Amino acid sequence: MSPIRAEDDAPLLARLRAQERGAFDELYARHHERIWAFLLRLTGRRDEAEDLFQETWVKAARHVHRLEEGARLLPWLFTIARNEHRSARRFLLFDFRKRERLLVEPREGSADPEDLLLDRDEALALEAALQAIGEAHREVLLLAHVEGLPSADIAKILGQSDDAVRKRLSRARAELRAAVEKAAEAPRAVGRVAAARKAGDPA
Amino acid sequence: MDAADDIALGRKLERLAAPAIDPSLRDRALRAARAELRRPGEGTLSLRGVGLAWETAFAPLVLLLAGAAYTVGAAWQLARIFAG
Repeated sequence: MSPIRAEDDAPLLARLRAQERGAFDELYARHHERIWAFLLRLTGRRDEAEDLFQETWVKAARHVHRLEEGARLLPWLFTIARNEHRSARRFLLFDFRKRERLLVEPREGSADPEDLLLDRDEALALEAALQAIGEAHREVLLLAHVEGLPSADIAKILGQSDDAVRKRLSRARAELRAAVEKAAEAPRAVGRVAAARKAGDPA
Repeated sequence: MDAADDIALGRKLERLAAPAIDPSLRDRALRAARAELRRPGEGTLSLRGVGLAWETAFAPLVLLLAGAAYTVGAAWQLARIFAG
């Protein structure tokens, strides 16, 4: 996702603060896809993400008049979404529901090789690895890499210092890399066992 | 930790496709937000809200009623046994 600069949102922020008609619709049009992607990947469940998505926007509508000058809209929305998610998790002491295997269909890539999206298998493996790691690590990876937010914004969203965010991000990358390697290893192990069985080796 | 691996992993994450949103959810959430803008504070009824209300209020009440019914039933049975 391309990062959104503060100055891109400045005119919209002014309109929102003036409670101008249509400004909130524009905020929604501009950012709803990113909030949806964040919540869906954060929760790993479509039903939960749908409810949180709606409540995030209701909460945004409720508090939009309190936005201060210079506020950054996307981090503000991510903060609401994350708080809604945390609030929902508090009620789930024991959550035995399984995360969905998120099927995120690859879109048409652009002609620029830098912008090309991952191929389907690679994307699915990465999505699965994201769902396999801890929630605190998943959220920081989503904000930093998938959403491309600067660490100062992430620190505000998570309520932590810049330094703490960098450390968490480093641990999160390590956990994700281990999850990706583990996921890649599993089919190979199954393949080895199947080949051994075929060859008459009981191993 | 290999910094080059970290960079490569970060690049891959950046290239993940955005999951498509169901148009009905997209419209529903916008309608709910617009309603909130018009009538702040009235809130909306969501599945999670219903679920939480059930978990926090109704479930204990149902358990209490079920327990009371069980106790009354057991007492009734005991009374019948002792009454012959």
